[in-house]
Amino acid sequence: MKRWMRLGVFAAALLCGCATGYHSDKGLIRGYTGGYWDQPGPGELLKVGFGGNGYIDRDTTHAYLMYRCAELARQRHKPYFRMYESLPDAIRDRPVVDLTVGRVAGKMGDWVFVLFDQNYSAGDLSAVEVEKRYASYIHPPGAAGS
Amino acid sequence: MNRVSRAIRGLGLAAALAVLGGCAGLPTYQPAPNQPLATIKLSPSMAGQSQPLSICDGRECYELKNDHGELRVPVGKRLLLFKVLVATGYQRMYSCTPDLTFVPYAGVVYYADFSLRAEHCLLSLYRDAPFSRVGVMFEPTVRGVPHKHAG
Repeated sequence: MKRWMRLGVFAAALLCGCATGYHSDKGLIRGYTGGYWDQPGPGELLKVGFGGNGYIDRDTTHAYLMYRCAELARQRHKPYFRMYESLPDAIRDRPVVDLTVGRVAGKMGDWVFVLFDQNYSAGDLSAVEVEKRYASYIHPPGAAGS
Repeated sequence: MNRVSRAIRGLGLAAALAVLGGCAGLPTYQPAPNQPLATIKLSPSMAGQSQPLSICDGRECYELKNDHGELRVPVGKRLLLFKVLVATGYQRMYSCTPDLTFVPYAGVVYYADFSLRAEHCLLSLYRDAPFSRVGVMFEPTVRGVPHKHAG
């Protein structure tokens, strides 16, 4: 019994003491610390977000969210995507090329509305270029498998 | 002060009283048979909640019942639409009551979105625009509610 309690305390310490990694927030174990998520609509927009815990820093949260948008574009076979910070910006077609990540209720996190494009138009970002720019956050140099 | 401003202030006062009185006590809105209604589609952040939004019509305040991601509201007069959020964050509690007013028209479909960003919560309402890529357009009757802040 004591062994299981020690194991439980160790697992809890591991989860609580680690910054959120690059993964979905739906996982039973890893999702406990947060992760990326998306919600469809309105229209063709996809709301993409990343929620971290109290240990992740702003730069990493920003990199994870940018990378996730690019990854979703490539999964949809769309070479380009554009990001809007709000629905009013989407209606006025005022895309942003970078994000300002802040805290919500003490947790680091942000979200953005994304439109995916087959052909380039002004305000679009290249999915391949964005993935390349932030790859070092997802696969740190020297990490196994990188 | 014009009529719209007076109406908005009146609706704001009604909502404040409703919130102070405890929203759990608000009755659920029940439209009369054959009453003309407008539809509010809920964004995914609210679609899973049973009573995601409330309204005040100047006299009474009601909870709106979620019907498969949509709400029905009475038409023809300015309504105050508001949400009460109480959530737990990282080592703290977070609460907010964002609101707005608008005039619903019969048969029109609206889209309500709720979001949290950088310690602010925002409720917004748009008109459904299925012909556009973005899916929504600005609703011209939406107005903010003036709130007095201490300090």
